Amino acid sequence: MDVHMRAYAGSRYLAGPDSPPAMNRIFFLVSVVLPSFWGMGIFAQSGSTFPVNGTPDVRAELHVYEGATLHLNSDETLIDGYIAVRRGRIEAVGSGTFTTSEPAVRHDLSGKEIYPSFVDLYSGWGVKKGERAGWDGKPHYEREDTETAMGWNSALHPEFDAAGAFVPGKKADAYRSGGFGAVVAHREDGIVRGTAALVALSDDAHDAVLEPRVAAWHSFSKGSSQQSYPSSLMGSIALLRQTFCDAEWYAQFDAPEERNLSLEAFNAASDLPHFFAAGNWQDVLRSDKVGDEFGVQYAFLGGGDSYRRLDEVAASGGAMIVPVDFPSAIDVSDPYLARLVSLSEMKHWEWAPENPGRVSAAGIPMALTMNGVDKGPEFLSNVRKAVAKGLPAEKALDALTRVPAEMIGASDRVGQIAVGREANFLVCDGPLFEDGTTLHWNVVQGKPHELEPLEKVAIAGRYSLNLEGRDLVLEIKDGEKGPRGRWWMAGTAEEEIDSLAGKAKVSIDGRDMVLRLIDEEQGTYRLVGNVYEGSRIIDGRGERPDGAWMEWAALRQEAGGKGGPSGEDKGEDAGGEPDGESDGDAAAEESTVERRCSTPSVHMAVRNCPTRAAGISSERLSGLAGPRARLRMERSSSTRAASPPWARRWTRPRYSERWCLN
Amino acid sequence: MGKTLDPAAVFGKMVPELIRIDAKGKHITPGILDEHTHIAASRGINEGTQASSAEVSIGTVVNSEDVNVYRHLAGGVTAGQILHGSANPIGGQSGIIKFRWGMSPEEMKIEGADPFIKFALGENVKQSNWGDYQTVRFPQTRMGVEQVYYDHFHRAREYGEEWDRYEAARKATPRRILRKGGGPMKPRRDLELETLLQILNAERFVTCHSYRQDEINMLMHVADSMGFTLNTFTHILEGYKVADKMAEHGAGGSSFSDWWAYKFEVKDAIPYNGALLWENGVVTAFNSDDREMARRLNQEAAKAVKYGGVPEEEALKFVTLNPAKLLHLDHRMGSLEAGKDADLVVWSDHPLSIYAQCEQTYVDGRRLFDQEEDVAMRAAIRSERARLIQKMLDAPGADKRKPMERIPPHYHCDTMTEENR
Repeated sequence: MDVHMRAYAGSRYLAGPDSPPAMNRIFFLVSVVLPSFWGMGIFAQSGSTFPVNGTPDVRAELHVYEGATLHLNSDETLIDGYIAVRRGRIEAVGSGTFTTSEPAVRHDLSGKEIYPSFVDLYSGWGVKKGERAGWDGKPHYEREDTETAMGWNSALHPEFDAAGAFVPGKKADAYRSGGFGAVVAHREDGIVRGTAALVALSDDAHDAVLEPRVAAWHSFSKGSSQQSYPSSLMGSIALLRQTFCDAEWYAQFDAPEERNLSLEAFNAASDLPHFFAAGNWQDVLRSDKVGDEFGVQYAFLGGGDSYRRLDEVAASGGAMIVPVDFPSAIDVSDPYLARLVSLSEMKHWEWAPENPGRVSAAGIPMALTMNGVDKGPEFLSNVRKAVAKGLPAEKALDALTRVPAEMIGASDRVGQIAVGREANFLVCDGPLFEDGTTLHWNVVQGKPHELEPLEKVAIAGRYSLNLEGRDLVLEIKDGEKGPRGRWWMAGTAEEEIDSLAGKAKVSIDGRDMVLRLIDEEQGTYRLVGNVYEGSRIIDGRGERPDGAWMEWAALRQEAGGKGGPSGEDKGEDAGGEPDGESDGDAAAEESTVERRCSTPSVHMAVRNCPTRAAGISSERLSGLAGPRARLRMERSSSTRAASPPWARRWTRPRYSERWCLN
Repeated sequence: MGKTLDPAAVFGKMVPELIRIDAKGKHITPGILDEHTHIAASRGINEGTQASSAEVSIGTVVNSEDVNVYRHLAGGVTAGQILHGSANPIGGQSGIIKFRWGMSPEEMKIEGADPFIKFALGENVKQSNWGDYQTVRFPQTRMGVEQVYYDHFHRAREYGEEWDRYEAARKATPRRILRKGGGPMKPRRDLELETLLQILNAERFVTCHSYRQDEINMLMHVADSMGFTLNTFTHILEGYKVADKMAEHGAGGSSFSDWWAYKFEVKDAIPYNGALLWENGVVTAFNSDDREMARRLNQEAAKAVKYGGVPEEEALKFVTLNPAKLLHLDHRMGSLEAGKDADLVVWSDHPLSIYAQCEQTYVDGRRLFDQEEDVAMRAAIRSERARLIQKMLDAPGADKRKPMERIPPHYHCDTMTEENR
């Protein structure tokens, strides 16, 4: 494992996803870890062999994700498990506490569930598609680039090496938000498409390319070829068959009279697993027949319609890569237009979500693919739909992890949570394939990608807002499309609020709040504020309707439940009616604040906003801060004063708090 | 008309339990065969990008889901030859299937049927009507068409000789050398020439799209000089001019009853063509080349009675026994005889009458079409559609698709597409 000992400054080893709510659960092993947070990204570079412009930036290499339920694969689960990750790979997996004398960044994920990230066998990610030259209406009997030593037909690209052409592409976010940690990328072009690479969904190609040659892809689609032949499906079939014949003939020669680099590449790939981008069930059977003739057992990309002929598809003996691009319903309100829709299309709409379950139940080895679905969340929701329609959840997990990894012989790299594998795993708050479970992080090669914050900042409630001497009440409620707000003058009778309230538009991104207070007389106040960790205060600066800048602060006066607007208040009804707070609740809140102040997390909270917390003037607080708030501020200040020197160095501006996530 | 057969006598061979079907007042004929059709093929009917595409095969792209299969059954058609189009002189191999609706493509293919290939002559293959750009591919003239055949058959013969030499050299090589991987180099297997060689060896048979007598004579001359027999001239609208020569060569004719005047080279077509071919001893069939016409081939047969006075029984053979002969399937199909496949049609009336409706169609003794059942299935489809429409209306989500009609492609001989992109 000496490879792990190299000094390394690669971007994927940046520290964990320490958005503030998570931060207070991370216990830093101080002296070594802290430097690693400095200068983030400045030295991001590609690999150990690359010269460093500046000083090498060595960081804590060990990350421990702990406290979660670990689903190592579909069979094995560890309660209170940990995963120790070093330089993108899993170094240790177990239950309980991971002990080490080394500095480590620890991520407390208690209450969360962790699954291996998915593997997609059919992908064109990062490999540019061939482009067809403009159509000139003329027949093309010869390939365009006849000067090279390639084969005669430009729909055949056995020589194309996806790994060499691979550049991490834009769709990475979509894949990662769908739960994928790695894909098998090939160029989706032509009848013989060349070799495919197993690539992790990382942003640097040097990290991402796990195995450069894991499969060969064939299809019946001629793709971008400008050549006229073949122009039909039967022509594609004949061309593929002839290519197998030609390759067999060519393989006899040590020194061929006629060099054909395409056939050489075709033969060189013969030991790889062969995949066929088939599509509908008839093409599955057709391609299987070609494979049978030449001793190749393809695994097939299906078209989602295998349920129509399960017996025949199963008899092919090939594994299936099954899409979940279920069709959406058709607008059939107009009876005339609805007549255009065939019964089979309607039935497919109804049955498509059952296809994965039926393929699996037929005993066909099955992997699932995101092919045909653009957005990650849609993919996950479609997989859940398939699970709801009969695909057992453990089969779904297998189809996304273990099975695809086995199909390319890469079980030692991806597809499960085990020592030595890539640190690709998903952190969610419940069973992965159940509706309502949130996918929080997709950790890819040890780098956590935040999809949803682990804990949401709760801001609902009524706030006292002193706006340049005017005492206002700001009310924020949680709505389906984000928070909604309104405001009124303090002292307005409750029954008059509905008629007197002005509009307030609220948006929140992490702990940054943007508030537009629409005053019908004066105009719109545009305010930016920070929602403090463990506090009820939101404050910041903003621009008045007349263009002048101002400072502002708001204090939550009535909590929707217990406690302040803290990320720790998960499970509360944050959007609940603000009134009805009892003395008991208030007491509970007081003790919560008390307790928080005694925990290290407060250090973090204060460190996140030190100048601001300390800098709120007594005037600004006078109108809104009750004794509790004052207490809070004092304690914060005193805690901060008592904090060790390293904590005081923590003065990064708050708007870069999401530094390690993207 | 004809003999009266007890259907039970036929069915008795097929099913263990005797089922009696009351066909009183009905007419029963053998299932109709269509020698020339283009239905039930996926993504392209022509590989017309080269002068010869002998390596391609419709058999590899049979589409068992084409609704025309069922519609053919509703017209009493039980088997057919799906032909490659006529874009090039040497087209592709055909697919000969029974319309076993509901079965898979492989199950539809007629087991043990002799293999065929489509050839074509005339305007299509020399790209007369393809626009200004199609001036590159050989051949551009009828003279060139002839040379395509000679050239390819010569090459096929050489190809066969190359393999013969290889086999001989291999036999002469001691075993111990062969075991070590030594011995002669294996020739390249060429799917195109291999197919053409089968023609020369009478292992594959030609059905040739043809109109004009000069070209028909030309191709018979090519075949005679290369030592094989042309099995069928299809379309053969000027067959009446060369019927005696066709009979002498041994070629059959699979014609249209009265379809002509759709391009210049068919201007000499006459509706008496079928009768005249038949009178000259040519095995004569009528085909459809069209998914719609195929559903009323019984009426096409009747036109041989109307034009030329062919006896009714002989006219019916134009769409039953004669196409079976042309497809080398007459030992199994084409007539009602003990021992043959139970491919039967129950007609409401005289099958050559335009009033005749196909009431039931049996393939291999299985009833695959039944008018009453069809009515019931239509009702079932209507209620199933209604259920699905209600379900779609109730489905949540604002992203509903607009209804779009998906029109399946309709292939004729000259349909050129590029559906394998």
